[in-house]
Amino acid sequence: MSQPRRLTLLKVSPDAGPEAARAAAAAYQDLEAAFGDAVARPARGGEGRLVVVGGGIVGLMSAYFASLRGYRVALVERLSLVGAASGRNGGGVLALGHTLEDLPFNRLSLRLWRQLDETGVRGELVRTGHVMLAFSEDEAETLRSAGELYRAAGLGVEWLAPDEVRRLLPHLAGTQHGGLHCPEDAQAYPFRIAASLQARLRDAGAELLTHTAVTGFRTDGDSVTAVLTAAGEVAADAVLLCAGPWTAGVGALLGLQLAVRPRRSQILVTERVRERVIDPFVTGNAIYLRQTHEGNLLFGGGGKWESYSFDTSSTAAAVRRIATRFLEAFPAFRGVQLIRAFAGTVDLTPDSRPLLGRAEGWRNVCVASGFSGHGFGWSAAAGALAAACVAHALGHDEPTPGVARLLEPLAPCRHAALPAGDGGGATA
Amino acid sequence: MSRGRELVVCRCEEVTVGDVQDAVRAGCRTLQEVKMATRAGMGPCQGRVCRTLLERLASLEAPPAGAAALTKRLPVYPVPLGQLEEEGQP
Repeated sequence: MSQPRRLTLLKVSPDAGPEAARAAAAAYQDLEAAFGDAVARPARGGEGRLVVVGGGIVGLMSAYFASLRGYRVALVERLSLVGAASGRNGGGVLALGHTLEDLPFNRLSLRLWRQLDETGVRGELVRTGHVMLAFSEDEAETLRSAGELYRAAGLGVEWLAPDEVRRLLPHLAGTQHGGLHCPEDAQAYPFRIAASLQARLRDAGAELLTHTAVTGFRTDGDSVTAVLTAAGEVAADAVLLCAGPWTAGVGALLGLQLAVRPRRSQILVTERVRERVIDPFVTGNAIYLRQTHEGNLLFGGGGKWESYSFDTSSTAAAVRRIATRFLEAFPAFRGVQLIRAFAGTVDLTPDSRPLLGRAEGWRNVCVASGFSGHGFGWSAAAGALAAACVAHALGHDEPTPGVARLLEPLAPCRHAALPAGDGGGATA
Repeated sequence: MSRGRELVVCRCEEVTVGDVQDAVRAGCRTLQEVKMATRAGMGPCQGRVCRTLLERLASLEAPPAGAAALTKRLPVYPVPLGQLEEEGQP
């Protein structure tokens, strides 16, 4: 009898065919051609002041890529930089696991993360690879066919037999059925990349206004001319809304219907383990995990206990269930001490795809939000694309036909067109 | 003063007075931000030993925003993972 399926983060549809995989490979070529060197050789021509609303990782990355394009940047954050899910996440920078639609963007993100690292924007980025584990034959079969799709989509993945998995993860319990391995996937330390981006932005003359809430916008026709904050007015030639799950509230101030909603995501961290006991990023048994650069074991996973709210308390049920799942896979670490449980708030959209592009009805307002639990990994690509969307909106650059086609399904207000009564209330 | 900078405030993560001062001068406005920048309070004691010192230090450096307290997180005191394991899991 097969056990319940506990694959983690595997979003690729089993119904996707080779055609969709080929389309994903072509999409990556389009993105690479347009943004593959966005750090090393950025498109220039940016002019004027961009005000970024939201100081999460997507906001910081967008601000940085915009400054590389030549924009003057001011970033407004209600509380602390990367104080929510951007600083409280698994630290995965992963391509393996995504849908074929999101895969090309996350492959681009991996490339840009590496480029940032090579140019001194450091976040303890390590290309450790990522293995998705099968704990039943049924899961192994699913992962093997996903692997074929990913290969056809251009992602270098390999199937590892159980003994090969054991060599990669010597402390894993013996009941696994192999795993799908992506050597290219990486992991990073959220606080470090945030600090590094912050330093770069300050050097570039960007203003980082933390503990400053946005209260409204000054508008002129279809343009925003200033962002109103508790600390005064910030003049803007363009505005980028990237406040994660708070983007809906900020967008509402402009009459935008941005379908992002919050969901809590809980994580556990143990004391440091001196040796490198778990090298790759690991997903499986309904959790994800990694060993941090400092040696702590970090793991998390969702479940029925999660709340769709801004509550970030840790719950006893989740702590026990996530710890249990971890020990099922790694019983050798029973004696390792849990030192901290924490939670972040991720930004979900109805189709789990981001809201990315110019906001309908506004000439100079763009949105980058709704990364649905994957914002950290997405962030480098999100930043490069968001900065490009600003340049497109202001007429400083034009999207290639390929890029325009890829951005179309991400139009920020697409869910507002859903028929009323279809679950979407009338309240803003 | 220079010797003072080398004093260790957070023993778990080996964070010094100077590290905290530098973080505040680099723009950290709350103790939580100091923690994110330096890892102070992120070790096994989770601030049980250093919290008071850190709060005092940060409020001296950056009043009054520095006075905001560090978050307190489960499980408060380290507990072996095995103690949390549910029984009868498949």
